[in-house]
Amino acid sequence: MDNETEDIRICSDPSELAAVRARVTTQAEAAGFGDTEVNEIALAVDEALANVIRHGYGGPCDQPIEIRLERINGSEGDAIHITIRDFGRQVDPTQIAGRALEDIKPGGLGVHIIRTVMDQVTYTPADGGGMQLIMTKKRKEQ
Amino acid sequence: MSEVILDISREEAGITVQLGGEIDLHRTPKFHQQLAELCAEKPARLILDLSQVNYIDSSGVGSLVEIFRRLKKEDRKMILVNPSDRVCGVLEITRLDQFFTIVETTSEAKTL
Repeated sequence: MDNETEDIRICSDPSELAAVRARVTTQAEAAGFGDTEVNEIALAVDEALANVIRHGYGGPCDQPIEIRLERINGSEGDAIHITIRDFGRQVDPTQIAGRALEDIKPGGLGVHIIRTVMDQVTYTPADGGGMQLIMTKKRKEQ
Repeated sequence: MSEVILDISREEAGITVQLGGEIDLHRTPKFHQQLAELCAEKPARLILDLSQVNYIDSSGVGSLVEIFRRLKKEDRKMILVNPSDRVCGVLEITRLDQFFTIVETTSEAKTL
């Protein structure tokens, strides 16, 4: 098992998203994912952060968000493991669901995207307040 | 213009907007406001050339849905042109590729 970890701390400011996407892209590429999967992983992280900014914190741009990117080289295959921790509003994880796509309207697509492109997605209320999201994407054998 | 709207051309067939760069939560509010202002000009067609857009998130596609609905209410059209592979991927995940009219060229869009 040979893992590499990168910790990123940002504020809840949408102007920070592009830089995070770039760092996620670098890590996903280093983990050996193909272009499509790299883009999907960056999109999932972006959507998760956007949800924290919009719903977890509800607008202020100065609230903390912690992101951990872990490249896992394990006996069960290679993967990227992403943890996003905020200190905003706590919600019941069972209430976090993407909306029905048949209902065409703006909004509500972020969770659907995350659950579609990542292999495992787990939301939990964090100790001390806020939410923790753990997402995993496994690398397909080439 | 903005970081996302690179060029706007007005013709009898409608308004063609060349978009580029990354459309995310940071840039969508201004992008959306500018598209809404173009809708207010009541074009027959709003043609959005996405060939130079290299990233779009759910806030961006949500904006496109809202603009589409706004135009449709007035019997006007919104047509997407030549989205990049990355943009196509997001439209497919959200199944909006089946909802929007998507063509390969702006010339084709002007005939719809």
